[in-house]
Amino acid sequence: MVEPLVAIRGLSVSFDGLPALRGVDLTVGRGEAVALVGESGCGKSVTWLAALGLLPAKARVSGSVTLEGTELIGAPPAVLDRVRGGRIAMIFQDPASSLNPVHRIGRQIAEALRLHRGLDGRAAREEARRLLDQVGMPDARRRLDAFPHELSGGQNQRVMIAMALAGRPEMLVADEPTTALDVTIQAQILELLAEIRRDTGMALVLVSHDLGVVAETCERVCVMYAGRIVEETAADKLFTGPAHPYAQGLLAALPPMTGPRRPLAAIPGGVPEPWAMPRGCAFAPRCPRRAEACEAAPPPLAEVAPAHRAACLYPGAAAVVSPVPAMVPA
Amino acid sequence: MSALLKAEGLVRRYEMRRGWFGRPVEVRALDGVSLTLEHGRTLGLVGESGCGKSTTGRLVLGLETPDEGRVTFEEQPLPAPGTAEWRRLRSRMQMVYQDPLGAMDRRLSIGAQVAEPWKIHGRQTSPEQVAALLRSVGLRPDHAAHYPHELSGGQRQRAVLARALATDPALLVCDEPISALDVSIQAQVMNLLSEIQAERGVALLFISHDLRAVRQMSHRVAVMYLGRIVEEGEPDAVLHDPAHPYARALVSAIPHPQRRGRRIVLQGDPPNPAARPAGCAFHPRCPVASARCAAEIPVLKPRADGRLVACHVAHGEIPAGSGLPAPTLAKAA
Amino acid sequence: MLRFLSLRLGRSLLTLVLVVTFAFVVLRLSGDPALLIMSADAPPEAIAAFRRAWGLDDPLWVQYVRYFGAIFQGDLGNSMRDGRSAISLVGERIPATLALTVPALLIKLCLGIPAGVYAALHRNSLADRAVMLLAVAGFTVPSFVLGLLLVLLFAVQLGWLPSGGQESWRHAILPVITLGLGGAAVLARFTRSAMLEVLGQPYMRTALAKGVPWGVAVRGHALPNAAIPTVTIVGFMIGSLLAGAVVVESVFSWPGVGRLLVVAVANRDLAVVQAILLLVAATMITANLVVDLLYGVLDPRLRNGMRGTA
Repeated sequence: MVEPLVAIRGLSVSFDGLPALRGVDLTVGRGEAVALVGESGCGKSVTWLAALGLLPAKARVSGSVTLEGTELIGAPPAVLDRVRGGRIAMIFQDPASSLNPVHRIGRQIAEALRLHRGLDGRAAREEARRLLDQVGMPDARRRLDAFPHELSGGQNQRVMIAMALAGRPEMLVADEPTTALDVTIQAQILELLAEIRRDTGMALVLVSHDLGVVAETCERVCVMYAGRIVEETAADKLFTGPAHPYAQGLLAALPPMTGPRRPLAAIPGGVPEPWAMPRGCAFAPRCPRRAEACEAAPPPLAEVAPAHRAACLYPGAAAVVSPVPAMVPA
Repeated sequence: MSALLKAEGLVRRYEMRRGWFGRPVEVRALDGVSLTLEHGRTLGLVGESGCGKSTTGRLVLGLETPDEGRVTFEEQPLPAPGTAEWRRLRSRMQMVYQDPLGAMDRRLSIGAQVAEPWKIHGRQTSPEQVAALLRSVGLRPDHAAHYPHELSGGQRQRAVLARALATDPALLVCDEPISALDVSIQAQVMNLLSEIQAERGVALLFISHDLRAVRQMSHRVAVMYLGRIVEEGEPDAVLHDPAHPYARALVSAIPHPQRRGRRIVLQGDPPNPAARPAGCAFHPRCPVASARCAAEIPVLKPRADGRLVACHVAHGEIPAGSGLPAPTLAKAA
Repeated sequence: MLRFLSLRLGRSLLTLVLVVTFAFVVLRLSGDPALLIMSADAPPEAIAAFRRAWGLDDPLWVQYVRYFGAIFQGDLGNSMRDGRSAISLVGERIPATLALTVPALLIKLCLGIPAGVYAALHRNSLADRAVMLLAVAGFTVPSFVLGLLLVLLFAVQLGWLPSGGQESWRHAILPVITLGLGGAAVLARFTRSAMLEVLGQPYMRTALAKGVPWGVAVRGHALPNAAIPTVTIVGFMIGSLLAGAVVVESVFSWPGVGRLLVVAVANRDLAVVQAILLLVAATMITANLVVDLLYGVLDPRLRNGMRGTA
C-alpha cells in the first residue's frame, strides 16, 4: 500500500478530564476525498483541530498524527506554522466570523501568500486576485479592497477557500463549510470544492453532519459517534448497506422524498454526555441490537467486508430504505 | 370547512440604515403574501434566509402589524397587538422557535415554565396537569424539576412544545423548529409534532429551509422568494415536479446520495431585500428569464392542474428564455 | 457625515446646557453665597449690599436667564470671593492639573494596556492572577486611601518624597503615581477582557490555520480588534484629564483645577463652579466625539460607503 498523506493513530483528546475524542484511527491518501460525519459533539471537528494543533491550551491530546512521516502532535510551532495553510489548509463553518473584520480580504489572502509562497506587494495582490477569480468571486479586483462585512456569507466562504488555496496545500479540511449557508449557496460551494479538487488534485476532508452533502462530495465516509469512528466505508456502500446500527439509524431517520409519509424511524434517546460515557459501546443504550456483550467493552473497529469496517459486535445489513428522492428533470 | 387562519396581501416594510452615516433604505420583508390554513392541517413555508418566511410567522401571530393586508383567525380580524383581546386570542395560537434554550427562562424550572401560560391566562394548575403535559411530549414528569440547561437540545424543544400546548392552541407557528437539532433528534421532534397534530387537531405553520422536513410535515407547501410566495401546492407535486424555476433549483440543491443528472446551480447570492430587482425578483438568477421577466412582476395564479405559480414562463405566457446577463454591480448608497 | 457631525454637536450643546442648569439649581438651592462668603455675623446691610451687587435679590429665573445670556457672550462671570474673572481663575490652575494628569495618563496606558494583554495571553497563569489581583485592588481601593498609604510609606516612613505641595517635580511624583495606578488597574482589566474575547474569535483560529505564527497573529489580528472596545475607556480617561484629579489634588494639596472646585463649591462661588463644570463637560464631550470618530477608523463595520453590493 502506498504511504498515506496523513495518518492518525489512536488520537485522543479530553477537555478538563472529559473525553472528547477516544482513540481515532484514520488515514487520508493523496488526492482522496474523505468525509467525517456525525452529530454535534461526536469529535469530528476536534479530530482535525487536534491534528493541526488548533485546540485551546487546556485540551489534553495524545496519540499520533503524521503528515508523510512528520509527527504533528507536539511538534514545535515552527513546524506547525509551515504545515498549517502550506500543506494542510482548513476552512470553517461560519465564514463571516472566520475572517478578520478589521482587515480587507485582499490583505488576508496576501498574508497567506507571503507566509507560504514569499509573495509580496504587487505580486501578492495580483495572485490574490487570481485566486478570487478561481473561486468564482464576481468582480474580484474590486473585492480585494472589501471588508468581510461587505460580502455575503457565500462570498465570504469563497474568500476562505481562496485563502486556503493560497498556500497550495496538499489537503483541505473543510469543517461544515456549508452549514451556515443557504441551500442554493451550499450547492455553489460544494460544486466549487469538487471543481478545485479536479483542478488541483488536492485531498479533501469534509467534516459534516449532513449525510447528503457527504455522499455527493466524498469517496470514503467515516461515521463518528461519541468520540470514535464507528463505521468506515466507501460512500455509496454506506448508503446502500450500512453495517453499524447508528449509521443505519441516521439514514432511516432522514425524511424520504418519495413514497407515503409515515412516522420516521427516529433513534430513541440522545448522545451520552461526556461525563456519563457508557463503559461498553457508546451507542448501546440506544441500540435495537444491544446485547450483554455490548456493555462490557467498546467494540473495536473491525472489517465486516473488504474496505468496510464497523465498530459493532453484531454488524448487519439492516433493511434501510434508501433515501433516494425523485429527480427533477434537469 | 372554514379556514382557521387566513392572511391576505400581507406587506411588511422596515427602515434599515447602513452604517452610521447611511441614509435609511426601505426594506420590503413581505410584498403581498396571502395564505390559508385549515383546522388540523399543516402549511409548510420554505425559502432561504431573507425570503420573509419568519416575518410571515410573526405577522399571522400578531406579534407585528402588517403595513398592508389583513390576518383573520377563526373568521375574526386579528386584534391589535398588546390589547386584552389579542392576549386572549394568543392562547389559541403559539410559537415554537428554532433555539429552544433562547426561548426559555434559564432561571425557571421546566415545570414552572410549562405551567406559566396557565398562570398568565389566569387558570389554576396542579402538578398532575404539568406531569400529563410533559408526558404528552415524551418527557418524564420528573423533568419538571429540572432547569433548561440540564436538558439536551431535543428535550428542551419538547419542553417548549409542552409550554406551547398548555393553553390547548388551535395553531402552532413553528419557525425552524428542528434546524438547531441533531439529525437523530430531528426525526423525534417531527414525529412528536405529527402525533400532537393527530391527537389535538392543531394546525401547524411549519417554517423551514429543509425541504425533506417540509415534505414530511406538510399538507401544503408554499415556496417563498424575496417576500413573495412563488409556488404553492401539494408537497409531492411541488417537490417532484416544481414549476417555478426557483423551486426547481431549490429542490435540485437538496444534497442526496446517488445523484443522477446534474444539479441546477443558481448563480449569484440570495437577494437583498433592500435592493429588490424590478419585475420578477428572481430574474437576475433565473436560468430561463427573458426581457419580460425584468419588467413585469408575475402574479401568483393557478395553472390548469390547480398549482399556484408566479412565473411568466411556467404559465406559458412567454417561451423559456436563456437567462438575462448579470447586471453591472450597482454601487449601493 | 455632516449630518452625523451636526447631530452630535447639537446633542453635545444640549448636554452642556443641562450640566449648567443642573449646577445652577443645585448650588442656588443648597446655600446662600452671601452668608457663606460674608460670614454669618456680618452686618445685615453689608449682606444686603452683597446680594444686590451680585444680583442675588432677583428671582431665580431672572438670575438664570442673565447668567445664560452672559455665557453666550463668552462671559462666565466673576468670582464672588475676589471679583476676578472665573475664566482666568480656572485658566491659571489648568497647567498644574495637567502636570499631574498627563503623566498619570501615560502611566495608565504604558502599564495598564501591556499588563492586560499579557494577562490575557497567559490566562490563568500565575502572572495573570497576580495582574488581576493588583487590578482588582487598584480599582477597589479609593484614590484617597491609596494616596494616603503612599504618603505614609514614602513621605512619613521613608522620607524619600514630600507629602504635599507643588514646589518641585518631586512633589508631583506621589500624586501622579496615585492617579496612574488606579487608572492602570481599570485599563488592565478592561484590556484583558477585550483581549480574551478577541482571542476566542473564529478569525483567530483562521489566522493560525493559515500558518500565521502565534505572536504575529496576536499583533496583527487580535490587537487591532481588541483596541476597539479599549478605545472607549481610554477616551473616558482623556476626557477626565481636567476633572479626574479632584480627590488626589486635595489629598496632596496640589493647587489644580480640582482643588479650586472643592473650595469654590464650599463657598458657593457660583461663577467659578460653573466655569469648571462647563470646562469639564466640554472636554468630556470632545473626548467622546473623538472616540466615536476613532471607532470609525478602527472598525470598518461602522464606516460609511459599502463597496460591494453584498
